[in-house]
Amino acid sequence: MLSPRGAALILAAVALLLAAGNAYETLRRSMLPLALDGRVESEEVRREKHPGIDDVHLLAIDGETVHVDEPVAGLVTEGDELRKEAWSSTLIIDGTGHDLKLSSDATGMFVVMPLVLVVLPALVLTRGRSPAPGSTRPART
Amino acid sequence: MIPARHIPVRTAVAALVTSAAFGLAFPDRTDYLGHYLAGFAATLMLLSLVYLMPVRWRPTAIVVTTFIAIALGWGTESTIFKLAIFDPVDFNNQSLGAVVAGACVLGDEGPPINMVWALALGTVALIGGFYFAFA
Repeated sequence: MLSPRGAALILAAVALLLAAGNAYETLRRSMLPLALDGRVESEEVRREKHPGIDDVHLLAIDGETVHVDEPVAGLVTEGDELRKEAWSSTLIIDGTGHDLKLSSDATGMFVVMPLVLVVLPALVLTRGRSPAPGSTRPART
Repeated sequence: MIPARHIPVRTAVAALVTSAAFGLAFPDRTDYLGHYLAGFAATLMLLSLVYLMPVRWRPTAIVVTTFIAIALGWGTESTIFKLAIFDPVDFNNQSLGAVVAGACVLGDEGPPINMVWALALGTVALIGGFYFAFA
């Protein structure tokens, strides 16, 4: 059986993984972490619940599909040759350099994810305890 | 340390604070808030069953239930809510909501009647989640 502390640690570890995953995925969609050297074979836009706002932009680059943000998708067209070093903010399209910026989604994640990770320990550290019925143990405050 | 009887209020405050953060940080992406709130809400409703268990089982039950909720969220995101693609950000957001719900309930050793507040708050939050996800 887990103790409350053990359960709290497991939940915290899961939260950390999820938050890190969110931060990286939104960063990835800005292309910043990616190393690229290939041709854009196709572009595809798939609609979600709010067309024009949460559209999914997919680029096929030398057989690999990459999900990118709308500003990035707007820079490239089918047939473009892309070059980029990992973690560089410069995307070279057909020999011309273009600056990549953090998307608003990525920026938002870097704010919201730490906040959620702060709320979690606050919840755990301030947890109260209602004694089980019939218990002589006083309520923990 | 707050009194245990305030756990429902603390849970509501936690939901409001984190939801407000999502709403303010992503004003155009209400689906992020929707997924987070739906994950929180559905998990809280599942967690209401934990109150039917002996107190010594509850921390384990909370962790297991949270993982079940996350797995169910994976299933829905892979199927009925897979409109364009399986979005890992949507999955992560709803799973974070699930974990926050688990943290809210952890430590409440109250009687089974306490499940009522979890169900009630979960229902309200679920309505909010669907509203923001599809608004």
